[in-house]
Amino acid sequence: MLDVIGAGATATSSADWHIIWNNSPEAAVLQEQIGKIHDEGRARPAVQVQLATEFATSWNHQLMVLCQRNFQSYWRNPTYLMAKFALSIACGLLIGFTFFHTSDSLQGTQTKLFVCGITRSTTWLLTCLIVCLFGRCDLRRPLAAASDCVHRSSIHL
Amino acid sequence: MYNWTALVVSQLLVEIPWNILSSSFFFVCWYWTVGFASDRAGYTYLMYGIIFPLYYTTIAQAVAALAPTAVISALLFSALFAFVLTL
Repeated sequence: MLDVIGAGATATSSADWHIIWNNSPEAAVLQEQIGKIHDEGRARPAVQVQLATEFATSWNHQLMVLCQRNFQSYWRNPTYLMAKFALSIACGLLIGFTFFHTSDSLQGTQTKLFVCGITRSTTWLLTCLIVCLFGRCDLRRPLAAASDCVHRSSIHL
Repeated sequence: MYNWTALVVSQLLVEIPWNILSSSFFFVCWYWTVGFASDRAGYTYLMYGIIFPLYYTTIAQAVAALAPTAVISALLFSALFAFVLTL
């Protein structure tokens, strides 16, 4: 076969195989097939290589999944909730019994108003404190920063 | 990876029912011991047991989000205490 095609330093070939192949019917059939494949490919629309958003799923679905995971994380680590409840009950009883059965006199009404005020502040302050004491701060903190931090916070979940 | 708005909304949605429950415990322990009138309990519960938790849940999240550490958030609370007084 090497002799026939004229391979090697000293061998010679009796025919120009390139021209023979180019003129052969097999080559014509092959060219036709390649042309057909090209035409078919060009008839299709361009391939979408880019996603419309940076997220793999819709916002609503993200919300549903995140809610589920949040509830699960509370369920698996109930210390945060139990502390919240214990604190609410203890504070309620403390304030309630400190101003136990306040009368409706002028002084008593003033005291009741005061009770409403400190109730608001204690609940608010203690909730904030508890949020941070249980490391929820760390979870929410990166939200204000760049999106790679959001990624970090989603790992926490 | 999530959209950060979805993350925050889910945290609020999950936190709010628990805070309403917690405030309800508070209300039950507090309202009648102080000796408030029972016929006004309904509206007071609406305000202190349902509306107020919605408020403090959102603002607690806001403060927690902008504070880098628990120590700084504790400092911020005293500054933002004015919001509570003027509510």
